[in-house]
Amino acid sequence: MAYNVLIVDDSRSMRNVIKKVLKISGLELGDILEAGNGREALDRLGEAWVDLILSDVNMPEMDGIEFLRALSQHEDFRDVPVVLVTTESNEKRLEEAMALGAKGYLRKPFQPEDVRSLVLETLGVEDEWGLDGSDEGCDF
Amino acid sequence: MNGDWMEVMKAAISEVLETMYFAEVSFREEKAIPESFEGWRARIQARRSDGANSATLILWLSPHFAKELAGNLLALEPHEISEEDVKDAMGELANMVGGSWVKQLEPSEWRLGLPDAAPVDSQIAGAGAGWEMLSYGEPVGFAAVQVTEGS
Repeated sequence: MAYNVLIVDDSRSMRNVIKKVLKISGLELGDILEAGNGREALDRLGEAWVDLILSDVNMPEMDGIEFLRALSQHEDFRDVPVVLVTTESNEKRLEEAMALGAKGYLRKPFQPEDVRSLVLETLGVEDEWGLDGSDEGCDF
Repeated sequence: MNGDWMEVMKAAISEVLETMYFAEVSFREEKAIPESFEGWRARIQARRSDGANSATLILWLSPHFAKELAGNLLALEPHEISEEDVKDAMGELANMVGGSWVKQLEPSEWRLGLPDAAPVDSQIAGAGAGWEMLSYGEPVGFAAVQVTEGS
């Protein structure tokens, strides 16, 4: 099965980094869609089926928390798993995000292996590389 | 905590540069940022939720080092990097340094704003002082924290 992934981040650089990490993750990828904020992400979701969303929190126009809230109220999209990749470290904000349905979060800066592990875990995909969480063999 | 802010920022800069930009810097001394500085300025504001004060983290980076960092982040060769790439990579650098900085202080009491980055190509007045950053012994920029007391 090929997974379609939506990356939501106002930094094009960060979207590219995450895209590269996904490409070396071992995950079978379909389309990788991109959006610069939550509002754009809602538009992308209307255009194509998405299996996983990786979203920043601190974004202009519609931030990650508002995006999660909008998703939770949307009949078609509320079951799409969301993982936050963020600089946010305020526990209340992160708890709010989890209460709104986020499946997990990862703090920037991150190691590629951290993204890979969380993505595979969230999608319930077996880790065929059998790595134990170290970043051995996984680099940009 | 005020006295530690700059030390925490240095640690945050080192963590982010080493993890995401594959670069190392050291900090030499605090000195006035020259008005003739040319390069990139990236900054982000962190505001205390009680309004007591806010802090702006500012990075001044030489054009060469900024381009090198953008290339490292994006895995691009120097000739492939556009000014827009550098601007975006500098903004994200400020964002991650700000996030790491807040995390090491009191995350529950601070909220980060949005980063901004821009080239500095003319004389700058009143930039203040910053810690000079070195990479492989060469000066590559400055880092500063400017604190504003709230009402």
